[in-house]
Amino acid sequence: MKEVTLVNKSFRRIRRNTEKPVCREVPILGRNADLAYVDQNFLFSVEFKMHDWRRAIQQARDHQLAADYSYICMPRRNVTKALSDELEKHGVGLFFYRDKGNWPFEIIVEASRSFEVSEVARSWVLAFIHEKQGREKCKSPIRLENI
Amino acid sequence: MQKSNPFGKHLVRYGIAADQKYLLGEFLDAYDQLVINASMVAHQSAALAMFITQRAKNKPYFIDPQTHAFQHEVESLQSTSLNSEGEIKKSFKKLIEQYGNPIEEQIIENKQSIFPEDFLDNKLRRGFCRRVIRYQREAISDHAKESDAAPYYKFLKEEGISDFNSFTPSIVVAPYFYMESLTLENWLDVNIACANDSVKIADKNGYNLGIQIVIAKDILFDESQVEQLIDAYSKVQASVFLIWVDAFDECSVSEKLLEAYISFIKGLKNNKVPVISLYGGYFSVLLMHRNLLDGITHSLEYGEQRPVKPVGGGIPVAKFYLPCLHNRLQFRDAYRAVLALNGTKNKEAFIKNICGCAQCKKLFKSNDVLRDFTINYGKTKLIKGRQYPIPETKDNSVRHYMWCKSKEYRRTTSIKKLIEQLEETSKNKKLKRAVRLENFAHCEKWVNVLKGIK
Repeated sequence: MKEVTLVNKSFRRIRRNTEKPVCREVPILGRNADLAYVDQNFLFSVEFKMHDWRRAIQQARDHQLAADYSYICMPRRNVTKALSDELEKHGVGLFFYRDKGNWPFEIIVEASRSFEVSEVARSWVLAFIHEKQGREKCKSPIRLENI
Repeated sequence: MQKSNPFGKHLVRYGIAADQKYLLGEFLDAYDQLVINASMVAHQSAALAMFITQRAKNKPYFIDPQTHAFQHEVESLQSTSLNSEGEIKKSFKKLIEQYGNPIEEQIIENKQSIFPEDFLDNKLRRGFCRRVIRYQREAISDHAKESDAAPYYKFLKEEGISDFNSFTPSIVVAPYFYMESLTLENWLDVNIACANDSVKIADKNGYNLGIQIVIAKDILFDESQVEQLIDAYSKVQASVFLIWVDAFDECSVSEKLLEAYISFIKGLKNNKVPVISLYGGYFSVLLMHRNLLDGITHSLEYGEQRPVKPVGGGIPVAKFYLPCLHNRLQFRDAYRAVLALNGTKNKEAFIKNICGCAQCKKLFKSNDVLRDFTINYGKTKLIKGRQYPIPETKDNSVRHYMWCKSKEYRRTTSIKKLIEQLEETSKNKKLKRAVRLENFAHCEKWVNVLKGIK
């Protein structure tokens, strides 16, 4: 399976099976997150990679400037010590993609809440998600600024 | 005694018409001289004449004749637009007409780039040098004479206040060609011959002559080639040497290469002729404070280094110039730097710890520093899946950059103190983690090299 297939399948299942606002290719301060969704007023970003987890973590770190929780998503694999240490060091979470069920992600390592969030950048991402999917705006702990 | 520098220290490269707003008004006194590419002069000489003579109030300038453009693949000179695909771009076509043979014959008739042997005929080469120099002398002043403002200039001349001569460049630049390790033997003789021909023309007419030396980095690694270059150029009676090392990124090259670059500059300086870097960043500024370089050119925000190929072009990316690192950072790295440098508490903290330039002072209206910083320097728009800075982001980034550069050039702090400041930054572990090593490692490298200069 290709990376883009994982992104698309995850996106469709979240849209079809949940009420969570979700979007692909979400711009975050110069980077694009593969997928971002809002769950219980928190913003989650997900970076998909088939193999190169170091690169995925690097990108996910940049998402932490806008997302409350930043994850990488990979097909099921061994979680090596190196991977686990790196995730912990940066507060990035790990999802395994799962083929069955309503929800496409299995939480393997929980992400820490980002302490670097730019509230403005976060509000831009939320506005982008709402605009793109044409759904009703979700509640946000941070006011969407008119800028 | 070294010849006087006819430039001033701070040179800015005029890139495109949209750059004008950063070269006028409040910025007019922020730099000393303009460098304009000949292709740009050919493309819009009338507009440039108006810009230089009226809006930029006779700011000194000179023209880079870009003769190296004709030694690369002809395809690099060809248009890629739908209507004129494959044809030589208009601006280069005009230049070719002005410069004449051997370029015209090879590029237009034979559709091939020029080779060193095309310059073997002394008479042909002298004529070529004469035309290249004449073009630089006349391109803008001729248009000034023909512009709507001509009667005004005529009046000034009659009053003895100014005349059309004041629109001529501060120096003329001899034709030059790019040299790599592999091609040094082939092109060096041509370059020296063009330089000597140009010296005679300049002497006869009383012009200041710039000798431009454009080389690949690999030459710097070869001591014998550097010696050969310096030996050859030391015999040329130049008013100033203009140096350009292909894609020489001061932040990313090794210490060895920086040292080799300094040796090259020192070799040229032995001739008591000013040396100007045509593309340089803060490391070059420090070399200037050490009296090695006499001036440095940069473009607006994106041009502290440049590859020789492609000739012109390229999409500038807005980045935030972090004064303490003297480096342009992606916004997300800059954002983390602001956090690491304790610039978030309030506006005063930002001004003290990050930047106190006129643009930052103007933009930071509240004490919500991160909000102001993100809105003004980080906003992008998505076009076909790629993020581009919005015009306001670009504008703010360029203005901020221009003020920072102006401050760097005009600093009167001793070189010892400047190196100490850099060393202090290089020890900031929090900042290193925030911006990542690739944006940070140059500080320590620069300190080591600068301390090693004898």
